[in-house]
Amino acid sequence: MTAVPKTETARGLRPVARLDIMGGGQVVVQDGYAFVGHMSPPEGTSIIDVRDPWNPVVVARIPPPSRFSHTHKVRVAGHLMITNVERHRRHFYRKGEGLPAAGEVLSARFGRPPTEAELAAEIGVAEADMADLREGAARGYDEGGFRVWNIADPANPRLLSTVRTGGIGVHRFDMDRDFAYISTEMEGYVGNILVTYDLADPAAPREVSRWWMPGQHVAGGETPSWKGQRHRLHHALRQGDRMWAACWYAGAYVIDISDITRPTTIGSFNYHPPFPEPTHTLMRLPEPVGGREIALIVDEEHDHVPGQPHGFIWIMDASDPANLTPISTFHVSERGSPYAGAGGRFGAHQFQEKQVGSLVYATWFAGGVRVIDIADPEHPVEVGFYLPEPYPGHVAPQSNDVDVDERGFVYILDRDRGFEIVTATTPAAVERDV
Amino acid sequence: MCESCASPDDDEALPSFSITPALVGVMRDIEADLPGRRVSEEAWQVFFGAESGGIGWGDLERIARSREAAALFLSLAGDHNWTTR
Repeated sequence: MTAVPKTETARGLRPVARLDIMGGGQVVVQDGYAFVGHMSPPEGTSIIDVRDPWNPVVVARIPPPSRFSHTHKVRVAGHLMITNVERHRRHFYRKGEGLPAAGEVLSARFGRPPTEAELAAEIGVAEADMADLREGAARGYDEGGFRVWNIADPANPRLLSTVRTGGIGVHRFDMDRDFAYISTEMEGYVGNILVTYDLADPAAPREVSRWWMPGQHVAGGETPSWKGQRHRLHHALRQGDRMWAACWYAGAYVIDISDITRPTTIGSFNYHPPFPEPTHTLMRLPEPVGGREIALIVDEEHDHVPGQPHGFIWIMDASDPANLTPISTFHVSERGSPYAGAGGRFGAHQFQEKQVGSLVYATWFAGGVRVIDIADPEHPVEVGFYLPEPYPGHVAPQSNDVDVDERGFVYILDRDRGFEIVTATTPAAVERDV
Repeated sequence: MCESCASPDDDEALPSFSITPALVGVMRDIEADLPGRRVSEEAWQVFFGAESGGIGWGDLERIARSREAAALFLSLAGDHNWTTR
C-alpha cells in the first residue's frame, strides 16, 4: 500500500518533455512517432515526432471532417493508420431525438403545448441549449465511420479511404495489418457493436462480420433488456483468435474469431451491479504473469457516487476464456493525489494496450499515471506514479491515455490539455521488462 | 455527467454510501459473521479509501456483500444517515 504525501507528485518517474496541445482521447507510439486523437474539433489527429523524446515536435495535423465530428481515437499498424469519426457531443445531440416524444408527453400532461423551459427540463438540457439541440436534430448526422491513412511518411499522412458506418459513428477500435475491429453504431442496432473490416485493400475496406450482444439487434426482432445504450461495446482487443470485448454496463465478453466471418461469444463476466463504473477495456496479456494466464479490465469513472469505490483495475484469471474470474483489484486512494477533489474526475480510465512485462501503466484522471506491478497477481502493488502539473486555467490533471515505447518512455495524454513524456528516474526505479 | 463520453442512460441511481461509523461498524460485524476467511485490515483500508493498493477478489466480494447487508440492516433499524440519495 502507498500513502502519498500531498506534496508528492512523482515517484519512480521523472519528466522528460511536455507539449502544450489540446486534450486527447488516445495516444499510440510506433517507430518514434506518437499518434494522438484529440477530443474536440477543430483539432483532429496530431502526429508527433518523438524520436528525440526531449524535443517532441508536431509534424502533422489532420482536422476532423467537419465541426460536427471528433476524431479522438487513433491506431497504427505498419504503414496504416486508422482514425475514428464520431458525432461530436453525441450524447447531447442524442437528446434531440427525444424532443417529439417529450413534447407529446408534456402536452398530454398539461393539456397544452409545453413551454421551451418545460421541454428542456423534461429532456435534461439547459433552456439556453435548446436552439442548438433543435438545430442538431434537424441537421442529423451522416459522417460517422472511420478513415484509413497511409503513414509511410508520418509527416505527410495520405488518406486512402473513408468508411461510413452508422448512427453516431465509431468510438474506440483495434486494428492489425489485416483487419480493423471497429466499435460502431449501425443501422438496426442499439448501441455500439463490433464490425470487422478486411484491410487487404486499405483503399476499400470490406466488412467481413458483425458481433453484438443479444438484445442489440432490434431490426432483427431482438429487444434490449436494458435502458438506452447502457449495454454497448466500448471496444474489443484482439489476442490470438479471440476478441476481448469491454461492453460498458454489460461487463466483459470473450469472442471466438477463429472464423473471422463468424464471431461467436464464448464467455462473459458482468459485475454491474454492485460495482458502479462501466467496463472500459478488457485486454488479454499475451504472456503469462506469475505463471498465470491474465487479462486486465479497467473501469472508466464518470460521476463518482460517494461511498462507492472509485473506478479501478481488475486482474483476471483468463486460463478459461469461457469463465473469466477475478483474482484481485487495484485501487488508488484520493490520498494518492494532491489534485483529488480539486475538480474533474478522479478514478481510473485506461491502461497501455500492450504488455510491458508485469507492469501496468494506467491513467487515473486526477491521479495521473500509476505504475502497478502484477508480478504476484494476487497482490498488485504500486511501484511508481506521475502526476502531470495542470496547465493554467485547469485545476487538476485529467490523465486520459498512456502508452509506453520500447525505450521505456511513457507518453501521457491529458483529456483537457497537454501531452507529457516521462521516464524512469533510474533503470531500477520502475523495473520494466520490455 | 460528462456529455462527451457518458450517456444519460448510464446515470442509473446507485446507492450513495456515506461511510458513517455506524455503517462501518455494522459492515465489519456482518463480515466477521460470514463463513470463510476474514477480510484483511489492509483490504478494509483500501476499500474505504485510506490507502492505495490491492484487494483480493474474495475480500472485495465479502466487503460488497457486507455493505449491502449493512445498508439493509440500518434501513430496517430506521437509520438512514448512511445514504445521501
